[in-house]
Amino acid sequence: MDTPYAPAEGKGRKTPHLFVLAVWTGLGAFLAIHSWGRLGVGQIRSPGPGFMPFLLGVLFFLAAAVTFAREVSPRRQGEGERKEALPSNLGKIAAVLVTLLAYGVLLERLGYVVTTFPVLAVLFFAAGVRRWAVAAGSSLALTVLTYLLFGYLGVLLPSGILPALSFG
Amino acid sequence: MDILSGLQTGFAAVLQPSMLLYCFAGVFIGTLVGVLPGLGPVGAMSLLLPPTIGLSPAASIIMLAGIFYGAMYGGSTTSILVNIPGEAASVVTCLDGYQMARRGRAGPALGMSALGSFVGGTFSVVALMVLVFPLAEFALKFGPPEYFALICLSMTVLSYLTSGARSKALLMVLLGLILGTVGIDSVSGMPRFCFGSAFLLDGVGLIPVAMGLFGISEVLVNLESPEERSILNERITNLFPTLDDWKRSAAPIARGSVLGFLLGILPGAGAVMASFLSYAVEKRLSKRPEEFGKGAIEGVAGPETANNAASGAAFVPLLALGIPPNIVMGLLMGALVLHGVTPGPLLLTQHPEIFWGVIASMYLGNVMLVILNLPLVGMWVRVLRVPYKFLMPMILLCCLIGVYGASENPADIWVMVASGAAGYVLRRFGYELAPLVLALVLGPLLETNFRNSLTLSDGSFAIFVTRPIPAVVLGVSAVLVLTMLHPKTAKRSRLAVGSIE
Repeated sequence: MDTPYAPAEGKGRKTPHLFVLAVWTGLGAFLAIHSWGRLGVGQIRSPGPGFMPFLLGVLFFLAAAVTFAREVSPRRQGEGERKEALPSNLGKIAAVLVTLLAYGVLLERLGYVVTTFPVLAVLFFAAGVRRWAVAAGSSLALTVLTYLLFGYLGVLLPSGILPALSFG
Repeated sequence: MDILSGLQTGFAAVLQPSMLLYCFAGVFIGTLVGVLPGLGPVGAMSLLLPPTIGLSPAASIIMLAGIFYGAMYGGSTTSILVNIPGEAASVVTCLDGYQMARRGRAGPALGMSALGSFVGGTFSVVALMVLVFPLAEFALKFGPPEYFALICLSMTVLSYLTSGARSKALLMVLLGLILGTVGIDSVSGMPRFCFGSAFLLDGVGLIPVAMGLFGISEVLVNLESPEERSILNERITNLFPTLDDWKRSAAPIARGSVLGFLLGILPGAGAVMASFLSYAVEKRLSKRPEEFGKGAIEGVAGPETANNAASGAAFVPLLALGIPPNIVMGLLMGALVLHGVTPGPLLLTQHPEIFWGVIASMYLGNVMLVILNLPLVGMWVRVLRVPYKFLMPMILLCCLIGVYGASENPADIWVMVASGAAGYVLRRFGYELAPLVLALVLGPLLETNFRNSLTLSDGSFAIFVTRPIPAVVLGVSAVLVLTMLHPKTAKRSRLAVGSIE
């Protein structure tokens, strides 16, 4: 469901969000300086390639700085500190991300079938399928089904080390 | 081309077996996406954008549009049967729909939801046909300053109406605009923020970013807190509401149609706000307000009608002005641009087959959806029983294939995964992602119109205040931005409208 996700809040640190705001502020400053110095803002009557990025950089810097200042203001401190709670399944989330990145690296080298089958098995396991036979069977079925379906739809999936599986 | 001949053209185009199939595929997938919590219409459209690139522009838009308004139908099924909204615009339906189901009236709740949605959807299509031409004709008088102002307003209102912190939404809009500047500048041909990377010369791709932000991050959020679903086990009977149900629902349906349509046109408002406001209105006007929250059928009829009316109305600014009022229309606009078609007032004259084809498909799509959601509701109940642990890998695989299939460049997979990780982190810190993606879509258009305006005025910013439309529109935007940054109003809004459709 596409709805805003409300992270848990309670007592604790709010340093991580301040760090993010500091990064935003630095990013805005960098954009403004880079656009002015490297890209060139041109003239008002004929704006250059750096004109819009410069304006956006300045606005971004100001918006982030204002938000940062508000977060560290004494009045805000009196509202009670908020904790950016660490997710309970951080390891699982990290594993999924690493698996997806590995998929991007290996897809064209090993091919769709050889890459997708083990990746799906890992994802099924991460999602909570505990029996390896079920995970492996579901992975195999989904790999074959999607290979045939997307091949029919004209999506060219790499055959990799199994050239016999190429369509067309 | 008058309306009747236009409809004739549209139906002639759509009543082809292949077009009917695309329309059906769109509404079917939309209903499925609406039924299943975890992947909203935006995520689904992002996934299906790449395969539709190979289709004709009309077929692509018909299918993608079907996903959007199909999800409005499907979302109510899971709201009524499971008390979990399938998508944001069906949150309100949980309040009374689920209570009706608990009292053994799941059938009439589902039936009234589907029929109200049909009325709202049909009303919005008719109103769209009537309104779009005068609006498009008016828009032909628009120049770069007017378009610049309207795009600013669109992004500002979306940020203002966010349910999260408005200052954070503003930061997301600016970040999206900044990302939109990456790549080769269209005027000077100079690479911007590419840092020697050939991959970035074409800019930050909408498809991998949207799929990462909405598809991957949603999965990561669900991994954090997997939900347990229990579905009501009673057999669903008597799908058609009683006469008394109709007497109570007729006025809410009529009001919901109008309210939903008006809100759907406004940038940033849309189906979610329409459903909430409709519920509030019906509760205020009801002779039995104490029944709301305990199974009042008006609490289902009004909001479901309103959200479907709003989904049709959202096409008005996109097709007439070329300005998407929400993220879904932003994706549709992205799809049209990928096909080399520019939405706006000239679309109606240059590509009438696309416009009338979409109109005709919306008529037919609404009929298909009533059939899918009434007699075939049992099918969706079975789908609801599929555990999320099996759905999650399928969703991720669709994301991977979708993004690779669009460009056959594995680097896009890395962009998608990085966007997914970034989206997950941003959501944890309370940032909403719809303003970012809408700004990414509109950013290049905003810049082009801004620079052209300054070229027209020989460098004078007065062009934005001496012309009436930009002056008024930018004035409203400025007030909203200042309100967003003011300490007292920058905190979380109490109206839980959600921001993404």
